[in-house]
Amino acid sequence: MATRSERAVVLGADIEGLAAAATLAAAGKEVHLFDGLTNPGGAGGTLEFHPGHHVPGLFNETALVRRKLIAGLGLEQLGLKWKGRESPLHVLRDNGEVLTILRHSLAGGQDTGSYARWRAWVDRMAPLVCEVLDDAPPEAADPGVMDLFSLARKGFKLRTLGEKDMMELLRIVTMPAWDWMEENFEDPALRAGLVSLTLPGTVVGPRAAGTTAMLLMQEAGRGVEPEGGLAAVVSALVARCDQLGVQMQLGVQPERIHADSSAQPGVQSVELSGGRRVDAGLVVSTLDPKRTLLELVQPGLIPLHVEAEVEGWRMRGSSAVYLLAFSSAIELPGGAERLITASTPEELERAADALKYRQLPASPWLDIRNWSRESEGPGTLSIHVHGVPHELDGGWTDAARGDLRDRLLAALETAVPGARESLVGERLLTPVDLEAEFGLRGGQLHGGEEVLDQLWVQRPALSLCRYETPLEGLFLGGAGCHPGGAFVGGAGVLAARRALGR
Amino acid sequence: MASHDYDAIIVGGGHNGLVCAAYLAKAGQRVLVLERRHVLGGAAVSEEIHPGFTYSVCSYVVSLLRPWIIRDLELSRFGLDLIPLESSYLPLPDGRDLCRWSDGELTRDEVSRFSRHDAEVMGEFSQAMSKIGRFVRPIIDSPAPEPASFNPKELMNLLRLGRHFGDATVDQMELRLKLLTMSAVDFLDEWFESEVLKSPMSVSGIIGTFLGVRSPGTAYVLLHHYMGEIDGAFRSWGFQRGGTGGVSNAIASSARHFGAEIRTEASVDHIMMQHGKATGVVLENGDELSAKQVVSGCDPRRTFFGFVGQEHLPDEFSQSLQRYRFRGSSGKVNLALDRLPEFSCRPGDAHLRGDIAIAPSIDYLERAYDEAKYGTFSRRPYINVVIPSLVDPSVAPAGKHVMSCFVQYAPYDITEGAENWPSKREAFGETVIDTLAEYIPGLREMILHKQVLTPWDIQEEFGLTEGNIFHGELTLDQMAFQRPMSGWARYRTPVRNLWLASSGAHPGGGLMGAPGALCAKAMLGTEGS
Repeated sequence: MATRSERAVVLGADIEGLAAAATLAAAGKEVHLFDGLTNPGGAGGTLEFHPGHHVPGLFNETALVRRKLIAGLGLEQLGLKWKGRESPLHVLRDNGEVLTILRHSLAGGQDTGSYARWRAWVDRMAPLVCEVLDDAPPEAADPGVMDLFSLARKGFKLRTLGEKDMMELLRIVTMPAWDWMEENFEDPALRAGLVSLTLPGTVVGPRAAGTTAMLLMQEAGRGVEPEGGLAAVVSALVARCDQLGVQMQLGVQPERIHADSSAQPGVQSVELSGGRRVDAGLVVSTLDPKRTLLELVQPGLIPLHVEAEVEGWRMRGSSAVYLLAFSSAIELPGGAERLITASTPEELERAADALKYRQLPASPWLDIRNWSRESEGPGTLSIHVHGVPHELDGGWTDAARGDLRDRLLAALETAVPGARESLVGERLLTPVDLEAEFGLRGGQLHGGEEVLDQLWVQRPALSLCRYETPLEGLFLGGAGCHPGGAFVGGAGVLAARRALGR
Repeated sequence: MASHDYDAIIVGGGHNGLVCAAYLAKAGQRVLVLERRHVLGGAAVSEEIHPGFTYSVCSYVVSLLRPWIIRDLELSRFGLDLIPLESSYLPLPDGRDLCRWSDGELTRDEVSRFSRHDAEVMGEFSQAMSKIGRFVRPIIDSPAPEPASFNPKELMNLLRLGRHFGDATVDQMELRLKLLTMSAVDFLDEWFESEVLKSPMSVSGIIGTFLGVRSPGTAYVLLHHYMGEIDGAFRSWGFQRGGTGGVSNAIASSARHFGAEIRTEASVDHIMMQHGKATGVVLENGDELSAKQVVSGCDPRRTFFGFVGQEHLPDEFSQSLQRYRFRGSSGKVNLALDRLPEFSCRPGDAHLRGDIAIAPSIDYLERAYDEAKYGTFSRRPYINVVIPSLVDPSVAPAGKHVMSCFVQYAPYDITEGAENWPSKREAFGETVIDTLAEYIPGLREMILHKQVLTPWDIQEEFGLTEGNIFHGELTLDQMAFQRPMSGWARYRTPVRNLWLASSGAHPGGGLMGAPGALCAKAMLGTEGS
């Protein structure tokens, strides 16, 4: 039996939680992992939504996994494979033609030259962006010597880019992606395709300032996809946790984080549903910051100003996920694995407008992922729709759900004529459903809105960005921490390393 | 080499051009200011468009005019006379209303009708904002830093600025970062619950930009309300007695006093160039005037593409200038009224002596923005109204009034094309009057005269490209060392002997005078003083 100080509790069985547990266990801790959810991986795990039809996680974007950070966990030895090639993004034009966007080429567009120039610039930014993504944010609130050193190194890297690149980076980073794309490209479909990827974690459209930051982070931070989607990462992580002796209990709600009553309070134990207590000197929570600090921690232990910061953390969901099962294999236009049906940035903007007024988008655009090859069933699509509010005016009644479903099927029929005829099963997950079924507050898929003031040192707050909390021994490590929900596998590992004092 | 007619010729007699002229003249230079129109002041002018009524045609309130400029140029002696605005009034369509007074106690009472919580935190909010205002002031009072420079002096400056920033409590740091990155609405949401308070506060974040109140990066403009200084009093806005043009006239008088020569109706055709250097100007009447230095008080697009010509500019500079965004988003409607308008929400006039906002809800503001995004002027716009004749009877005949309405959004780029704005002018003016009439019954019958300025008119009449009142959007990527573009934020230009002294240079637009003064100091080599 390990002593309290050797024992660590991880709250949250999403990818970040699993990655944190494996990191802690590999360092010799006795790790207990709890989550009220019953499905390992949470929204990233395998989901059978219709008999015989699975999606490997709810996310269509799978090329942003922080491969460098999870490399130390040896997941490849447990069967995780990475695709040998990058996956193209397809954008459907109004005339039915398809634009194919690859990292270093473009098929079906007029912007070949400007795209190559733009991409070369983004590639030059990639080392710096990846260093930022794969490292804990600096201690901005109270810089220590090492933090200053790390900050200086980043600053130096910034400077060694050359004055022109550096000034360009400073110029664009706060811009609306709409403007940045317009400066670079003629083709509205190319602009729409690239910008569409930055919106899922936000309640804004491409005209909002700062959307460029997210676009740059994604384009510069992109790698290859894991074979089998995020669910494959989840399986490998679960296997690794098993190997390392992590005691995982799902369907067990954490109820309270208790602290020492001595003068220097630190984490003492975690109380679970049913009244059971587990003593531990270390707790890493990948549940959202509000849940962890405002609901679980024993009241009175978090200073008021930190509580106020956490209360200000914005987690408004903006997307619905629509899973579809077909009786036969579905072929998307252009043979796309991932298809964006918005052919102009204006379509993206109009859909985001609806969010402001708590309405459904009049003509939603779809981000369609064809999982037919990965799923056991013959035809499986996962569709993400941006512009769907959690706080729908009038509430999420059956009529409202039906209304959304009709609009989505109409949009699908336009993009993939005839698909509807072979539809055999479906599951519509509104933001309210995402909240209820996956514990995602507000239906927020990325653990907190991914906008300028909620990134890096401000994720989730200046005083919490280093994963430490005011309660000694308690660390935050979920998607609500840097690098955030889009960049899977980052926060869990970085938080665990921090907890281990590295 | 032939002797020069002048040490410096200033193209454009807007307030910044005049400030620059006054500083140069004060330093003993032979200075000439050339203004195309018959009045001085550019967008800070007063004109008697309708007999007996003086309109502050464009700019209508004074806030950020730098106190050190007032002192250096002895502007009070030359006619500067500011009357503080006492209140900020918000009428609502449902008959409720809110008036924020310069007296904090009165405001708390008003706010507590909507939210006790908000009334309680208002004081704390003002304090926090004023603190940051004090932090930001040195930034608008000195030249922009140059982060790309390896010059040791610049690095030291950067380091000092970093310390200046880092030398704060965590709370203050957090607040500053949030102000820089958040949307005005999100930022206010963290403090207040009542939309009746948040909505009129949030609009200060969008004035002069083509963004909505929910767009990130709009929060920091809230600070401007806490940076304004009149007679050293913090957080105040004011009217110039006799109209905003009086500010320009005071600066012009000061410049003349120090020996500057000022000509109106002297339209510059182009800037003379020799061997890549500016050597003077050629007027539209063909006159050539030579000078050691040429200074532009006009916006960057007009200056470089209009007066210099792309053939004299490095390609890279031209490309950057092409990307510099103007996209004017506002218009102006000035009304002569035969009596004092009465708002149905609250009779009397005590609450009308400051500014009046038509901004009933955040959704209202967002809808106004959405319409503009898709290429039309807002059907129900945000309007900022002032009735200066209430506090300054000199601008209208006895018993009669002038009403100035700043209107947003009126996008320069309408679907029909900007050049078709004149055919929409009437409809635009009517929209504004209709909107106001919902709060002021009988307004239409009081109107003796109206002047409607669309973004197109502002461009054509006042020379502001795309009608942008700030000489280019004041967004984060066009501020400080990036205004108008990185490498050229210190008033110098790629054309030797040509300087930029306008709102298109750091610290930007508004009736501040800082770009003009900082440009003059850069020319004189007295930046530190």
